[in-house]
Amino acid sequence: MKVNLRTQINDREIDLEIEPRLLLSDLLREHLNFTGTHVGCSYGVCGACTVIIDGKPARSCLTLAIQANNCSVRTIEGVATSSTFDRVSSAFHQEHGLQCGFCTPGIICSIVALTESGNNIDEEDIDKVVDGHLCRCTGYVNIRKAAKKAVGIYQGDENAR
Amino acid sequence: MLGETRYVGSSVLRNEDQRLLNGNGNFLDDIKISGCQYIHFVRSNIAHGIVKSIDISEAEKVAHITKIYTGRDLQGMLQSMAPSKADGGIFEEKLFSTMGDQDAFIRREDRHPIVVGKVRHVGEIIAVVVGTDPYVVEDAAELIIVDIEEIQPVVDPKNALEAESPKIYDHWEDNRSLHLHVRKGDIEAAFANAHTIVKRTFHSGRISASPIETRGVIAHFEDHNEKLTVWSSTQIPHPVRTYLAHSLNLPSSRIRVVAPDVGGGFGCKAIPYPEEILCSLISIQLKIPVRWIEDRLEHFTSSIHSRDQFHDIEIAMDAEGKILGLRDDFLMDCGASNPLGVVQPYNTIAHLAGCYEVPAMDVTATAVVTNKVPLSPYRGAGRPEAVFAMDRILDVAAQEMGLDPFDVRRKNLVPSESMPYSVGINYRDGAPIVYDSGDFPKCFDTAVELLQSSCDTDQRRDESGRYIGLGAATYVEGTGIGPFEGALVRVDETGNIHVAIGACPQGQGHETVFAQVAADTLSVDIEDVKVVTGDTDAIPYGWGTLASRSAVVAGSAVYEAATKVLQKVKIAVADEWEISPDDLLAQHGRIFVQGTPAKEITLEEVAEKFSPGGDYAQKFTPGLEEQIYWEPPTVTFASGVHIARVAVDADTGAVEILSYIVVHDCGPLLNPQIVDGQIAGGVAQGIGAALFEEICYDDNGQPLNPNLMDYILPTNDTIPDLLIEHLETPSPLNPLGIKGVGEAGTIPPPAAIANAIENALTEIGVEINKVPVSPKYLLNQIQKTKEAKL
Repeated sequence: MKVNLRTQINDREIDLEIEPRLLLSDLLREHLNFTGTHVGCSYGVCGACTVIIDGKPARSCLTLAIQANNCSVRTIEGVATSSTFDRVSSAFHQEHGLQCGFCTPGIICSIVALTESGNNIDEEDIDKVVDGHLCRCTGYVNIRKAAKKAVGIYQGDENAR
Repeated sequence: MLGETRYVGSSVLRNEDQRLLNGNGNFLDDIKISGCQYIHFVRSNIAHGIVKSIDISEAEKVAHITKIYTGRDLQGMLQSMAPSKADGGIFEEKLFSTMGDQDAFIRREDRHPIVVGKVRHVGEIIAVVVGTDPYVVEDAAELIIVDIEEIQPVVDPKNALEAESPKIYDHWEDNRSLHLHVRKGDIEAAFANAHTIVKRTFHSGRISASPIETRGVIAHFEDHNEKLTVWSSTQIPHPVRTYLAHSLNLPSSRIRVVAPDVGGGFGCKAIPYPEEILCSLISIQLKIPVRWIEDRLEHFTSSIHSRDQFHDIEIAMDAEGKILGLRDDFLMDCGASNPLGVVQPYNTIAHLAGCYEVPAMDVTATAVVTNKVPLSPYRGAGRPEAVFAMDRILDVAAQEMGLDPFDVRRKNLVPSESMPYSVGINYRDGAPIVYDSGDFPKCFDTAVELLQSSCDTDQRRDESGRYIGLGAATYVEGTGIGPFEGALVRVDETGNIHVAIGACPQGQGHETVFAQVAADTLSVDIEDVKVVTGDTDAIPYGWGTLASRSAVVAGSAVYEAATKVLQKVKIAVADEWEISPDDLLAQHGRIFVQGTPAKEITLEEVAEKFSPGGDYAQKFTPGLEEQIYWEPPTVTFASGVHIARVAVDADTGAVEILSYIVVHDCGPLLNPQIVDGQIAGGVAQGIGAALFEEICYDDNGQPLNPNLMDYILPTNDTIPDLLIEHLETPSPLNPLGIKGVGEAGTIPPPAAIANAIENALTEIGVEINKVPVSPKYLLNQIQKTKEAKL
């Protein structure tokens, strides 16, 4: 049995017959070739697969593709075309907020969603977002700095180098 | 040595960041090959037993299933996974010949990459399902019925040594996998003359590297040219190629192994794995490309685990708190096999004395096999275990003698005037251990100054009643081990610099750091340098990124190769201009006569003249390129001091790290930001090992927490900002003076944090004998101590 999925992914209209059990992460990676969405655990703990669904960050490995019916989904590939992304990615680049880069797109999606929420963002908001992602390389220190820099609450410590 | 540099020594931002940030990274699972089929491994859910039958009849009928293989189908086509020289085995012969103990031995398992007969741990591969749909191969796998006759599992490593224990390898006389014994000095006299002797048992728990990207393999055998290409999320593409060649009986030159972007490794991707062999064999058999992506459960049950050492350590001190002698007898639970042999246990032996002067030492290591996932080095590789035993016993001794543990530590450091310092035992490459550089007392004093200037060191309680404590640990680390690493440097006919290296990154920034080295050596703009890594077709020989070695060995290879390229340039230009090569200067991609910059030639023009048929090519060797395999004489020693300040809640057992200080000496920093990043990441993993991470098994050999919900990795809220400072004493053992840094951060946190927790709880009198110091463990220890006092 297949079901019909109509959704918008990175501003592209999608109309597909899919297996009901197909995960959103697999739809993105295997069927649409948006491979920037990474799968680290497949049960929602690590956060590498985070995408933005209707403006909110969501774990695509815990979401059935059909649950995205009539939604708007943005993956890192879509996010990367936004102006918010430039600020966030440049902060991560400058603060060495990534090493292997596998967890990075998920974190960027979460930070971009937070930034675009329109709310006032303080350190605690940033910490909460980063708390929700696993990174095994950086020890989080530089991720915190980068994320805070991206939203303008940390200027970077040039003297430190 | 490099003269004035534009790039080396500065925090050049990373070349690899852009693609990783915008989702264009090229990780294993991102590689799509048309016609590629999916592999799912059926793994044992029994720890120890004999496979009686495998019924694949129902599974075979499932649509989209191409083929199902069992061990019997494949056994005749595969060599056993005997260690080749592509792993730790390379140094073993030399090490054993210098150890001077007749009782020392190491045994080989001769495992097959797929179970034939005996199952030895939960997670071992029993069957392989190949099909065109990733979901359906899992459906079919569920229909396979495996009948295993269970054998009593061996779970506790101490039981493994007992005479009545079931044997895991029938061709061995007992369950011991390895026995090593190293001694120096007059140990009997040291203990006979001691003022104080203390003895304890310390256990470093079993942990998992857990990179966020799991392993994965794509194998593509192309029949038309009989070439096998294997993409693997590995740290060692060249050794994997050698392994595949031996296992599959193929010429090495018909195999290309590629490590694409790799999402973290930390040692767990630094051995050849059964899946690489099986995927390759199946691609050859079926003449189709196949892929396998490890899921997280498989990572916990088939990727190597690490640590799991029990130390019975005993120290003899004189009345002033100076170390007289050290005895250590440790047991390593290596699980179902020991893929890298002596590496982990011998590293422990070699690093046990650490920064301290230990006049006499007697260390015995025994490794036993049990029915758990195989054990192999993970970041730190035997050193965190050594430091946990040594720096804990020092604190216990200080406590016993009523001395300050910081003072005892300081008093026993190898003095700076003793450098280079000969330890008196050998390293695992068979060479005598000599601390070639460093200043341990200065490192220690710097850390203490940082501590004193950053907090109130006398505070014993915080406002909520938590106990505050301080703990220190020191370490040395042999880095940059051989046997070699390769670099090829070419100036192409467009004047751009192509650098290919055998070492391959998993986040360490090789594309940036080695571009810095090449750009400065050749005096070109870094934008003109492109570094290629992780491809056996890009450079014929390589070793890989592990053991804190790439900066040292690949860095030296890049430097030497680029230096030779520049020499070649100068000789050719000088010949044409009829001057001495020494009069020529290279700057920004131009070559000119010193003092007369008007007469110049660009590197691009020189490269053109070196193209086959060009003027220089006629007279000299064609091609403006050099390939170097740099072999280090032995390891070079990095060193450092960590201090942890913690708050302990004695009611909940929760530990918070209030501040964490690192003073580290890895010689001149190639890229300070990347070095600090390596240290921060290492410390976080060390904090995980100290407080959170442990793989638990039940008595049946079933893993109890093989998932990221129950196996706790450190999260953002558990890692404090770090205070990091560097000493930069250059190594005399390589042209850039550098020492490795990859593992350093991971080594001392378990000891420093355990010491700090114990210090915080002095009032109660709790002792910490194990990591991780989970809340449960800590509350038990508190309870036990209180009961003992009643």
